[in-house]
Amino acid sequence: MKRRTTGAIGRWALLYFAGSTVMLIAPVYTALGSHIEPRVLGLPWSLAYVLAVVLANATVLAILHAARLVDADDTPDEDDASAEAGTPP
Amino acid sequence: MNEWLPQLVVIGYLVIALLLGIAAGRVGKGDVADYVAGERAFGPVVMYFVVGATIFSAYALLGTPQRVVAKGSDAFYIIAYGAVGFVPVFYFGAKVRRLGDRFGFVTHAELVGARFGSRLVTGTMGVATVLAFLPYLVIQLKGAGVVMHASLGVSNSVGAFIVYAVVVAYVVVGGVRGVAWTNVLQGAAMLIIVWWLGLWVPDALFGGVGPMFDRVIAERPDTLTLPGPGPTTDWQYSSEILVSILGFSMWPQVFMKCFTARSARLVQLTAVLYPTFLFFLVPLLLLGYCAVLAGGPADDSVLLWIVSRPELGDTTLVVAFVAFAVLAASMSTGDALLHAGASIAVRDVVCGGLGRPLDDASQTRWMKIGVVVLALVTFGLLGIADSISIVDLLLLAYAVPIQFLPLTLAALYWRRATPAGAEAGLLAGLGTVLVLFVCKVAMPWLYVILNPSDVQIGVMGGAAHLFVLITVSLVTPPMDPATVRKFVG
Repeated sequence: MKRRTTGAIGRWALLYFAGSTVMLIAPVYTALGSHIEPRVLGLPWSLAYVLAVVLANATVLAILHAARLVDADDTPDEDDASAEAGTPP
Repeated sequence: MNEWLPQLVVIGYLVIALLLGIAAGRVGKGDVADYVAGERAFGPVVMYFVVGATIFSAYALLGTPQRVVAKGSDAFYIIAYGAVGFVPVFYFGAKVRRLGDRFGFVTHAELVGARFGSRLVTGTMGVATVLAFLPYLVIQLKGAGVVMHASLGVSNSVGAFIVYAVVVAYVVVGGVRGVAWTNVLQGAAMLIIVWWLGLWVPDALFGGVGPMFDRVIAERPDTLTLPGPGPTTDWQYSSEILVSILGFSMWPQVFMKCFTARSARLVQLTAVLYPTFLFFLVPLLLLGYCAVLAGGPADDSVLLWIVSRPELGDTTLVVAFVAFAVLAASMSTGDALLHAGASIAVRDVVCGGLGRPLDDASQTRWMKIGVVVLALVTFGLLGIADSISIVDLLLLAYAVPIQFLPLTLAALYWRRATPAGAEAGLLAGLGTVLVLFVCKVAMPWLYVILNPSDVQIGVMGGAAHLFVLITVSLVTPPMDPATVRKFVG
């Protein structure tokens, strides 16, 4: 039977996303992010920091998707054939 | 000629949206699976714009620059929560899409209710969702009214009526396909106009984005870091982000879009691409900082105010395109809410909750009637919107989707969750939210006793929900493993 549950790397990635959430809230954001300097492309650090986290998360999601590490099976379940489409269990 | 430009742009846009939405209705079988889920055939471009444009509302366009003026960098929270808010969809979206295809689900509550074999769960989720949509819809109508007044000179209510007559027409005729096709137009228009303004206005007024921030640092550095001019406490900022993350993927009009994708992988791809839409908020922040320096008002007129500065020259055309963008934002969210609200009222409340059997054609007909009724109710609420606090109602609305998170995760990932646990948890969560809301509005002295730290009421409800769901599930008999395996396996 095919396994389509979230793989180990996918589960570790959940920890990464929990960590990135912590990066965006107090006290981590206020300590590391809520400053004016250094400027990045003219933007204050407080905004550049948030955008950097967005970019990092998007990159991690793209890698997980491209490498098919999270629930990547696009085919129906093995027992789908016996399921009556349109009829909830 | 110039004075007619705003009218031309706005009316031209409304006509194109109407024709596009109606043309969309000519494709497909016209049954429930077509009307609600577009026959599960949406491709990547449509999915991208449907999700992005649905989420970015008139509130985002008008409210983001306003928030910068009023609260400074507190406004960054709207980008911060988006960084994580869509991650749950990446994880459960593929599974939801497969289950929808397999069992014919087209709504969020149908899936959860079927997992627990509970009409109470389906019906309660449906009723709570429709009620939560109402203040959100009122905000969209208000936004449309404001820009119609500014661009056509008609009263706010007449303007909102014209815009939403167009929306109702294309949602009734085109269903979710009408919503989707117009969302592609609206989403692309929003991205182009907002980025153009966000780069042009700072350049024209201050010599560029960098020089503009040089001046903000010199004159208003308090607006670039917390606590800001609000002021916003660390706790408030963090709770805004956490609450938004918890509820973001649980808004049913967003969740339902998982059923419309043509493959499970495409649902995940939409989550991957979503942050690119998020970057569209950056120019709105830049416009907000322009307004900070120029002394703009801290209300929802600030966007139109900043693009009308005399230093920018003749801005007639610019104002017209801002009106276009705000209408696009209002309509792209409003159409999804009307469509989802009517679909949920019929599928979840009438069929699922009350157990009234309706054939496919009757369901579709009642959904179309529901779109009209929901629009009229919203328009009625708009009339009394000044005498009731929409912000208070939004507080209640945002608390509702958070109550669906424990239930959805339990439905998809926790074998031991039972129908009794699901029903008791949902009622406990929604009940907690309702009691705290009533106390906050009508009995503040009692609210202080019940919630001394003023934790967001959605989080309080979610905590109560989680506790009751787990406790009751563990003390009641487990479900039939064969049924559970279909969802959790």
